[in-house]
Amino acid sequence: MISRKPSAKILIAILAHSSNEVIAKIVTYWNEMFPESDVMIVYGGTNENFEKVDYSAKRMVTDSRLRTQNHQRECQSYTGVFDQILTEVKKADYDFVYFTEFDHLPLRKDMFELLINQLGDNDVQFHVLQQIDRTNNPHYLYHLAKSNFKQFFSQLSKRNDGAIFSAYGFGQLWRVEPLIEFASIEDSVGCYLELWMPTLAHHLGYSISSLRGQEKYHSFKGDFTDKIEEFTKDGAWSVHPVKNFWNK
Amino acid sequence: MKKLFRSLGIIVVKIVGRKITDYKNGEHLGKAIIIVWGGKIHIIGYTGHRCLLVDWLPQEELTYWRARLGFTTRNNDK
Repeated sequence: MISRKPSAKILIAILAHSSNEVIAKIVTYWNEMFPESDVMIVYGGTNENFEKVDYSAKRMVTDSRLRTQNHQRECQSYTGVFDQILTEVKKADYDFVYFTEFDHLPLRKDMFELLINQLGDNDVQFHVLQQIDRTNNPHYLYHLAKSNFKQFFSQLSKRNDGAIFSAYGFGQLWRVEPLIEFASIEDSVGCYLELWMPTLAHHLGYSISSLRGQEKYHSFKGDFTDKIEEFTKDGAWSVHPVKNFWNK
Repeated sequence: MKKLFRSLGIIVVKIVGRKITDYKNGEHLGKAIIIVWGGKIHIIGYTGHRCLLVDWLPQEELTYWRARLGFTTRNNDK
């Protein structure tokens, strides 16, 4: 039984760096899937291509920490992305923000009902959320070598439990109030986005949760474009990554 | 007889055991024979007096193929 707040208003923020033609396909697809929601493009490509994007709800991210080559080693950051989402979210009375990446594809029109239902009383929902402190997680051990890493979170923490989390960057469902506070915090650590987002949300006192039962349709590598039909028949809510889908 | 075996064991550890140092300050903590068996790491015949804590170690370079465990003691566990 799916229950949903009837008038839940959702801002969908999609990070993309594609050409105008591809952006048009992305926007059309998402708008057709979720006509009751607003779609914004957070652009991480070049200024030249950004100017060519023919869509009003677009925002350029200028933060150099988004434009990393070796994302994990250079600790790619989405703080500049969330800065742009923040400007848009204040324009309307949204209940939720759904942030994702261009290669994440929703497969069901009722995806948000399903996500919100599973979110329950929690504040934020991530894909593959894990607590990684005191484990051999390579990103955790890499960040442990940063002198102010643990200190940063312990200083602002409302929990004081020393917990560090990791989650995928795509497909995050946020209640608006937590997102506004989260996006206002400056990253002085140089933290990789997969650690920064769930860990900061947790230490700000928000309840974070992991999407359950959809793990096999999402991966951090490869390409599932050829699996879309199979996954759709299987009842998947969404699929990631589908980097080649928009070029078809 | 039991004491004799124990004394012999300590001699063996002192000869073939590996040095255990506190990864936080380099302090020599003792020696032990370290083997992996049955999916567990066995610390055999530890000669030190201070109880050991095991931590995953920070890595200056991001690597996916290797992680290191280090020893420390409660006194240094901030």
